[in-house]
Amino acid sequence: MAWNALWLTALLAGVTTALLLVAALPLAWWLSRTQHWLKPIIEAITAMPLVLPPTVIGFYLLLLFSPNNPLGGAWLAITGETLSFSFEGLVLASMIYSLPFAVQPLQSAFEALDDAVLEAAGSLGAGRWDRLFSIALPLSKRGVLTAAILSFAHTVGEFGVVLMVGGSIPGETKVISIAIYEHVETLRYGEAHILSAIMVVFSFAVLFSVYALNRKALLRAG
Amino acid sequence: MRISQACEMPPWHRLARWGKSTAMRFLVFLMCLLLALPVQAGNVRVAVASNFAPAMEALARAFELQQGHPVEVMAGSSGSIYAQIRQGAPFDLFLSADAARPARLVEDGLARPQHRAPYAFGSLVFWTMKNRAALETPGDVSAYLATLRPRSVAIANPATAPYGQAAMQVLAALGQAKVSPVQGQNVGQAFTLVASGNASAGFVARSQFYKTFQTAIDNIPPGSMWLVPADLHAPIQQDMVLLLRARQNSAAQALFAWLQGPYARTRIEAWGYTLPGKP
Repeated sequence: MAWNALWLTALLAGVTTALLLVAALPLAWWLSRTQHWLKPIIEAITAMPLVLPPTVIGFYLLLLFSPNNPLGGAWLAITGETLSFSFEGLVLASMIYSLPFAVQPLQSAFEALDDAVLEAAGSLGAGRWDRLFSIALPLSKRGVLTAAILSFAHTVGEFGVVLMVGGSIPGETKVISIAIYEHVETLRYGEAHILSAIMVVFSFAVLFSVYALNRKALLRAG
Repeated sequence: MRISQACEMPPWHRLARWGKSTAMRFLVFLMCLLLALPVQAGNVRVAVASNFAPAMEALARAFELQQGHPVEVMAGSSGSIYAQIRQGAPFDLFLSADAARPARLVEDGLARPQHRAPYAFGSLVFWTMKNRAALETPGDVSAYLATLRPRSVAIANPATAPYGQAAMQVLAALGQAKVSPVQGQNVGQAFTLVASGNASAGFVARSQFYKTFQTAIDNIPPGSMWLVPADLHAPIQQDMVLLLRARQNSAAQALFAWLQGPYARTRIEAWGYTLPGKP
């Protein structure tokens, strides 16, 4: 049971992180290079999951996932399952929930790039996207890594959203935070202690690796 | 990192200057007033399981009018409230969604055995918004359940919520134990899953259809409902317990007695519950 929840949490965070990096990369690249009037609006929307209570995201997603709505209805028609109570639904929810944690480190890294290098590449005939993949990305390794680690960790720490759209199905949507909540609710404090201790150790390890990574980069730069 | 920028530090220097102002002194005065409020005499703090919270709010207002003691109502899940009381939460009275947790509190020495009493029995309703055909007999419901996809029946989590346990027993009694339901953390979430259309049907509490004291359901939902016969599941006995903390609090003791009295009993029954000591 415990291993089931642990494995599911890791899988959810892994899939979410991979998809999120793919989605966040072009968005962060565009945000870092544009002067478009839409930029602050997109930036604000991207940062909103940082500020919104998870219950707000959970509540709206619950309505969005419902078969009564176009998205939920289309999903049900295509897959034969509802988007709520499914692993796929949780991935989508987690991507929204962790979006700023992927976009912002990437955007910062891209903004810190030396414009001269990119302009030189441009004058040698590299297009906008070529410059992203052959120059910007390799130079922003640390930003990519930070984005990946933070997205993964933030998804692991997800609770409110999953509580509202998950339906607590073992092996499908019952992640570690939900398992801990249920252990406490059913007075099984021993199990809650074990899972909670794992989470404490895990979060320390993650944050430590982010800070160690940043320090190394600072030392190298300085 | 940009994430830290999202929550910008307040301008402390300005706050410090402001601290010397009259406004700040007034604020400190206000805060002292607020701090003094909870120790006001005759206050009762009631922690109540979510399913009974709307009813308790209304009962608290009635009690205040009749006896003049202010009542604060805090809603939560029975499991969390139990854990909080164990950790010294300042509640005088706890209305649980089950009988087990009040019994545990007596065992834990946090309440006296004579201060535990049932206050209501929950009634279960099978509710669907999709089906307009009448659901009148267990056979109708059983046949309808058989037509549903897996994961389209919402119940409260049987591990944590008595209404969920009862729902599982009903499914078994209907010969539909193979239905794999989705679980809300409590009966309130099960209701939301049906109301939002995420689940085609669900087992919810009859009291959830009430918003005020009425003898009939006041907002008849679309679709079909089936009031589950009480003999299809073990009784959903909801107990309350007067905590040891309230031994000096006569208002809390009065409320504990009042909730078992004739006025509160009619009100509780009018909210869709059945009463202890009554068939």
